[in-house]
Amino acid sequence: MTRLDADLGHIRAANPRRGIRSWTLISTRIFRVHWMLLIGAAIFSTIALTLLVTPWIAPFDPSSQNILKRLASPSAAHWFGTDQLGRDVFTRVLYGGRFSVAMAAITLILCAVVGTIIGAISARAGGAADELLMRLVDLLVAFPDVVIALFLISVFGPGYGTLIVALTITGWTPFARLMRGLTLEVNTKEYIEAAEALGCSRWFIIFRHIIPNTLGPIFAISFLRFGHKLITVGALSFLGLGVQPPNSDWGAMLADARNFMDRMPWLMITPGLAVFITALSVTLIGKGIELERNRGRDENASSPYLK
Amino acid sequence: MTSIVLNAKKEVGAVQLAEPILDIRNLNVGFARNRLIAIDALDLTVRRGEIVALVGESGSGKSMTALTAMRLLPVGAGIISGEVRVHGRDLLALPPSAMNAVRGREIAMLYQQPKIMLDPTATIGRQIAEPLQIHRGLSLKDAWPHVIEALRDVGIPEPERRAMSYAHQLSGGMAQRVMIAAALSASPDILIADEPTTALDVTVQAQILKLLVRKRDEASLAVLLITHDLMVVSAIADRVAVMYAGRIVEEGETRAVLRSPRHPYTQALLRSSLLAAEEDGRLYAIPGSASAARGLSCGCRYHPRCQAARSLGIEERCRSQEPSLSTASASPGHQSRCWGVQVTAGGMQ
Amino acid sequence: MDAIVMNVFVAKKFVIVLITLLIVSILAFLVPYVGSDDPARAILRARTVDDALDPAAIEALRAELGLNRSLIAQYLGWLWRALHLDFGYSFATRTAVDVMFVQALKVTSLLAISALILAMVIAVPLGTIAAMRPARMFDNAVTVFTQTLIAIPEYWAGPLLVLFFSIHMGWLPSAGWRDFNSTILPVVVLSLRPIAYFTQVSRSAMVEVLRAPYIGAARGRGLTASQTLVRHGLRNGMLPVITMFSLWLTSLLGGSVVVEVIFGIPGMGWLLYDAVLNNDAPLIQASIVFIVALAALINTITDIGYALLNPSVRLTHDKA
Repeated sequence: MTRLDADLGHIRAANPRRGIRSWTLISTRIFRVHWMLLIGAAIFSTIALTLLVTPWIAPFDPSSQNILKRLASPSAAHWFGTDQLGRDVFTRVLYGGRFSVAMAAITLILCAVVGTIIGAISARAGGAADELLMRLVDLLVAFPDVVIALFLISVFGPGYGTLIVALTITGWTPFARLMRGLTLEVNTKEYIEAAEALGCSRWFIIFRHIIPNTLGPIFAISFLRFGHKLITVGALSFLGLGVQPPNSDWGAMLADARNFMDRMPWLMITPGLAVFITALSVTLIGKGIELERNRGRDENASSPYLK
Repeated sequence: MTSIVLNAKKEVGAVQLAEPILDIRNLNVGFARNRLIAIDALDLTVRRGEIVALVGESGSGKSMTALTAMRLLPVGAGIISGEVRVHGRDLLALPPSAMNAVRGREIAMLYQQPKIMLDPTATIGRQIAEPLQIHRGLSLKDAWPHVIEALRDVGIPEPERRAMSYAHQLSGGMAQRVMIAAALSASPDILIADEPTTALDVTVQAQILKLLVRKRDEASLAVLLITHDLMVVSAIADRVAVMYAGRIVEEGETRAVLRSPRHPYTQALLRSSLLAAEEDGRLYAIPGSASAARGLSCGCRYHPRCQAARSLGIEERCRSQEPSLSTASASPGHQSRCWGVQVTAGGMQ
Repeated sequence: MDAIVMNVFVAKKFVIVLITLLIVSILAFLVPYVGSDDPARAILRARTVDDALDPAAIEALRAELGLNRSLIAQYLGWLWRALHLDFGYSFATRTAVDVMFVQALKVTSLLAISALILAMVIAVPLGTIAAMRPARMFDNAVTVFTQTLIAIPEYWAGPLLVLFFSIHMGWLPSAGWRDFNSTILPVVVLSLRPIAYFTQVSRSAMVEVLRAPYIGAARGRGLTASQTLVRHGLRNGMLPVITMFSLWLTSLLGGSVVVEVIFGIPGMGWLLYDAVLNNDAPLIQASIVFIVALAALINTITDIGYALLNPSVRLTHDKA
């Protein structure tokens, strides 16, 4: 921070025009951002934008079948080829992505909100409540999330609502653990004690100190979990429990494609690649944020004892 | 405590004749990043059976001297020039692999916080056995009797049981005894003790110092004792070197330096220590800070804080030229790096 | 003193495990009553193809299963049998649940443990080398590599590997769980994400450990860099990896549904998948109880192993 301030001082002295100064500030900020974050953000925003405008740019209708052109290889007309019903795979990847990414985003936000609230409560309350909540977390972690989701789906039947509830129930635990740890850590910091000694109200402390200090890690883990969510959504669809026909998403496309794997490997490659690249771009963002926060620490972390 | 340990001190005359074990010559060490000089043209000799104290406040470069001798400098610090001779062989010229055979065998080290210097997951016995395994080629089984003996020797009760315990089960004093046993298990010739008693209780401090003196006497060990505590110095050191901002500003026999310090910094250090506080009941604080010496390219390092320079009216010379180490009193080897001392000595002639 | 602290610690853990198991057993017991169907109907539905159920058959079955008794009496009876590992018979296959379970558990534990050991073998050296020079080329490459592994969906990697190694090259079987060759692909696919997470954990642990004062002190005794790494570095750096290993083991013993379905492996994942799809209550009940009990067991073993490796754990653990 001080270095940036010093830079600014220098720029201000050299160039009193405000416009240029703030432009320089912006570019310094961008080039100080970790390259993983930059690359991840570039890829993900491209994907998100493409999915957003899909209805206007998709070359075909996702459900228009053409039996004459079934299982066709990639061509100028069908970039990713066609599937067993003669549907355009490129179009279906785009539409499927809208579902996959939207579902992952919704459940992620729910998980983050529920998890951080429970984690913070657990840390502030302490005692028996803390013990109970953390045992619940342990319990949920012991079950594979796909199994819990399966179970809920078997009880309540498949559907978007069930899917969201199931993924939220299985997904809030990492946020709760992280938030609990962060809150406990921040609580012991001297400045919190100082604030309490000065008579600051609890809400002031929470908003002024605890939230700003936990926001970074929560953001980082949110992006890291986004990829995981995307993969889990796909897994449930792959198992036939997520999106129901005639709609489809990347996981469901992969399940369909398995039957034609030997004849038409293209069918399997593209939707999987879509999941992979999207998941990779968000995890890169998350990792980038994390590395950005630790910048300077890792560079100097090399051990002096291994020469 | 002071009087008991003082009696253990050796006759000074005998020490002077002994061969030098550790001989540091014109050592320069600096940090690459901010181009700060940590150690500036340091010369220091420790002879067989001698305890030499290196004194100074934090940041004066005394710990860096220890790490340089061990060749375990932190990342970013580098040796610019100089020699660290042990038995006449320059350690700084050795290839890194050859240093492994020197550490623990010829030169060993004690640290300020012994508890964090012990691996929490290994028994203390294993760690004491390591120098024997590495330098003597013993198996752990063969080394074990030596380990037990070493533990008994440093005053650990029930050594057979204690050898199997872990760092977290030891008190600070116990851990420092264990560190001494581990450091000396392959009988090195020189022991570098970096603030070995600073983190310990006062009563334990005296025991550890006594143990160090006893080991010195038994094995004719050369000890380089790094400390900021003049009480410790007066208790066990034969000679003392005072370091300021990477420079030795005064050195000589402990009694001579502490009784009649010549450099203004040594005088101030003495006035600010508990040794002096006993007389007038108040503690003295040296005005200014050591960071004033940073970035000085010429002149005496201490002149920004020096009152003698002002009272003697030689500020201009102190600012522009750095004095050399020169004889400070009749005591043999007592030298100081001060224009003031040289001016008054010259005036007397 | 240490012994007392340890005993209190163990006793506290034991009580928590017992309470957890009790609560979980109640939840598991209630499973058949949660759905819209009553258990007798569910059983008959699972056994017959005909949708129209015979009311007489339902009544007979209710009587046979004691479904007319009070819920508490039913629970106590169920619990008593569960304590003797008797969870009844699967609705669908009419095989004893515990027998099905043991078979599936054998398969899954072999799969999970092999995958995790493979992950350890790859991850620990990678993480250690990365930790030796943080934020340099190799470390960055390892970071990107782990992020890549995390982002690969198993249901994509599995078929792709099958496509190449089984269909294209014909080297390995595409499915099944018979001989060594048939285990290779599923183990590899299952190990992908553990490799990534273990590498991250061992890297960050080793970065800390290698800078620790006792490593410097060990060098000071004359140990070479590699001796120090082996004697003091790895041992300390392994502790968080062991915790991670046990976390993954607990979650993988519940079955890796996707991998088992893709490769047609008769393990816990498949068993659960089938059980849930068929609404096979005894299987679901047993799996819930078994998985929680197994998780508790693994946690205990981990704690003991951790205490063996890190003797100060008893004191630090209690404070945390």
